[in-house]
Amino acid sequence: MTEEPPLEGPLARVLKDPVTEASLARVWRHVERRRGRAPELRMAVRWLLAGVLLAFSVTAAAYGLWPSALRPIPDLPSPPTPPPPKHSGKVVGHGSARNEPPALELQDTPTPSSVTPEPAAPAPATSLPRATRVAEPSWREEAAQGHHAEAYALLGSSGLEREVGRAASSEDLFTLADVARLSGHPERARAPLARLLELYPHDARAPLAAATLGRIELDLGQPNRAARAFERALGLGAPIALEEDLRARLVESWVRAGDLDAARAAGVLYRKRFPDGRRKAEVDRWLSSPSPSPIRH
Amino acid sequence: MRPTALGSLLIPAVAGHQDAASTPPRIDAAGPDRDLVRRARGGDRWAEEALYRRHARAVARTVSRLLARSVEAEDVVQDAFIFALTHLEDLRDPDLFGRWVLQVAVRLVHRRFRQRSFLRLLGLDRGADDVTLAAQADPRAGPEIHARIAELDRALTRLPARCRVAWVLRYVEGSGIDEVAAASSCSRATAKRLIARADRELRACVALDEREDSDD
Repeated sequence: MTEEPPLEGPLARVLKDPVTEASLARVWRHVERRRGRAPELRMAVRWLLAGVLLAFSVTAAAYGLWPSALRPIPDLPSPPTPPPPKHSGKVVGHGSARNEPPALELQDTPTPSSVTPEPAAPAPATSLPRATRVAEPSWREEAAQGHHAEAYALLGSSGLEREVGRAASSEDLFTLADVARLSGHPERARAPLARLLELYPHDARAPLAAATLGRIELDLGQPNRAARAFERALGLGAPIALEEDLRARLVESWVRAGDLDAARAAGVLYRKRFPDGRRKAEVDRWLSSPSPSPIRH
Repeated sequence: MRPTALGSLLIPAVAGHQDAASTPPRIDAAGPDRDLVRRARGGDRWAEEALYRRHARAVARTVSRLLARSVEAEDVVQDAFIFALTHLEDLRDPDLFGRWVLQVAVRLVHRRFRQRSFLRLLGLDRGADDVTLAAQADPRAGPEIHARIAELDRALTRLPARCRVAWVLRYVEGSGIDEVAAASSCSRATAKRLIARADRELRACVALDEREDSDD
């Protein structure tokens, strides 16, 4: 095998030295100080730290602070437990995506998707011939049927963040983002998308998640964040069908952010990749008169 | 096969910056380290500090670029020098103090990577990468260079730790194969394999850029 000559750090030529004299001096002070300590003291400090870590772990376990990866599969939000019915019939249980639906002996009709949840309404105290309470739909069911506003309402004010923490798959996170976005709360779609990118960067949905995040940021007037999201989507290997749009939006984001150098560089890449692209005229227009005016989507 | 590594893809584009940006100093294992080590073994604090002053910057720079977190890098440099100065008797060739302390530091970097993986598994890894390659990029370099370095950053984070360390040492720090092998505590052949694997995977991630280069 022929050995290549040392490259003398070609990358290092465009990289600043991250080390400062101040940090070196600070490290040396610590080195001197720690070397001056007796070994017994160092061991005592280590045991103390180990004890603190153990106590923290026990406390975290006791209070359920462990992260979602180690938690059991979360239960879906359940409505308040109704008082037991007076009659002898069975009450229909809640529908669940993970649990088998309970027996529906006393239910007249299948669970309607449009039933308005009434968790506060108590069950009738008088004896009824049949149980009339129906299972409440979960936010997942509503989202699956395209009822994003209803799904958002079922999640409640803090439910979305809670579900983001509990989500066990990229699909769950994407669904949560859709619920927030399509119910008119795009700012709350950031968290599930960012979480998806953090936990599942190699997932097939990751480029789309980054692209969606970029669009949201652009809509919310955060072009710098949008540009970073679009760059990330491209870096994650967005499909060719998405790439042209992403590159055009990247130019748009940089123009709106006022970073004309970055916009021009992105424009060069766009023209190189798509010399006859559908959005070439728009890109040319942005770059020729780069005024950060609102741009049509 | 292209004669140069992925890192050198940036060279033509940054030719204009080469005069302004100086090549960072490398660890020089030769020289009078032997005398300093001998005096440090005898308890000479001045010699210890001289050894630190001579090698700390290179070690800190390498560790920072490997860990991408300044606070963790400082801790690792601190631990590496404490270990090295405390175990000077174990150093067989005093002329190679610099290489040895870098080897200790790289071992500690690997330990940090393992700790990070564990903390990430528990959801407790709250640290943010503040010394990424993109963050260190010379502001005079164009946005295209910044974008490429950012892409390289992302691709590096997906590599296995050993491959990442070997590649960064070789193509970011400009170390020779022998230095990479010594720092990674492996044979030359293993070091070459690690670098080649990293290079292959990075090329796959930045294939678009290469294709564009070849078009020019």
